[in-house]
Amino acid sequence: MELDELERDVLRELANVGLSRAATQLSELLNDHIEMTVPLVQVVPYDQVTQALQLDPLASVAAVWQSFSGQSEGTSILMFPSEDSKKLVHALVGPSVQGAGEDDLRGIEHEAMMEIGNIIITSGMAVIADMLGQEVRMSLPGYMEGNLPDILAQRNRDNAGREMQVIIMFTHLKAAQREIEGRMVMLMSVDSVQVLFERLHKLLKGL
Amino acid sequence: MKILIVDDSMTSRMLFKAYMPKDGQHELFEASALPDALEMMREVRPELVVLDYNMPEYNGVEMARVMLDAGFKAKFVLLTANTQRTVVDSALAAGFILVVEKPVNAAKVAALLTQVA
Repeated sequence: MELDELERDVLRELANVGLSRAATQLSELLNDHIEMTVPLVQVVPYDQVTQALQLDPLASVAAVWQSFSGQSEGTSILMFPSEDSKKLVHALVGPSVQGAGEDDLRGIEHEAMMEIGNIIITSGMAVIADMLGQEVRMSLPGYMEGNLPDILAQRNRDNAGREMQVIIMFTHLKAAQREIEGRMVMLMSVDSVQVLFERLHKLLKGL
Repeated sequence: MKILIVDDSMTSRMLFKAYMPKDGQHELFEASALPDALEMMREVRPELVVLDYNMPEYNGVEMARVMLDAGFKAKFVLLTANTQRTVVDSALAAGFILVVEKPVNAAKVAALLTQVA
């Protein structure tokens, strides 16, 4: 699938609005300025998502995802290098977990990451839903730590063996005062994006 | 009122235009980057400049500073979903009179025009 200029622009603006809101939420959580890059929009085969995100396939990342459904479907993933996710959790709940054992600490980290992810992802998706004037239903958040190809394979079990193209929209998020750098990604199937374009065309025509 | 919207996204500019009141009271001009914006400032002399924040090369606040340094007089409004406190503070410090949260709708555009009138 090739995107024409207007379609790419539409997706870039949706990503810009959604990811900017996500950056705002992260900024409030950390009480820190979050720098974000202008979102990139690309159509890639599912198995090339890791390269498209400019990530080392062997690097360990902590990822929170939420599937969304409605007229358009897909998955939003917020990911941080594993080390950075620990710093993020510590920055938020550090003082309250002093003295916790190793296992408890791990549980608290997972719980905190899911909550952080939920706040950031949901706020980004909500603003996109508002923009399109349609309801987007969000699944409960899931959490996984490992390399990204494994995480993506796990997320794509239902489509195993099928060649699937996806649209990725992503940005780098970097906290100004801390060494914390994350990526926020929205993955949508090409079919879902077509539905989204139709909705947007109708919206613009109706105004 | 002459209004200049500066946003690298054609979609965003189209949405803003679509939600403008059709009362013949306002004239909208568009630019997607700093060079076009400066040219519009020279040619059109808009009374109101609405800028996106997150753009390649220069963000909206940086663009407004360039315009002000060049001696252009206008009211500036930031239109963004990136409403971090630091972003809002930097806009207000640069002289923006208003920050409006994206996505726009008819009510937000109407409120913006009332507030800057």
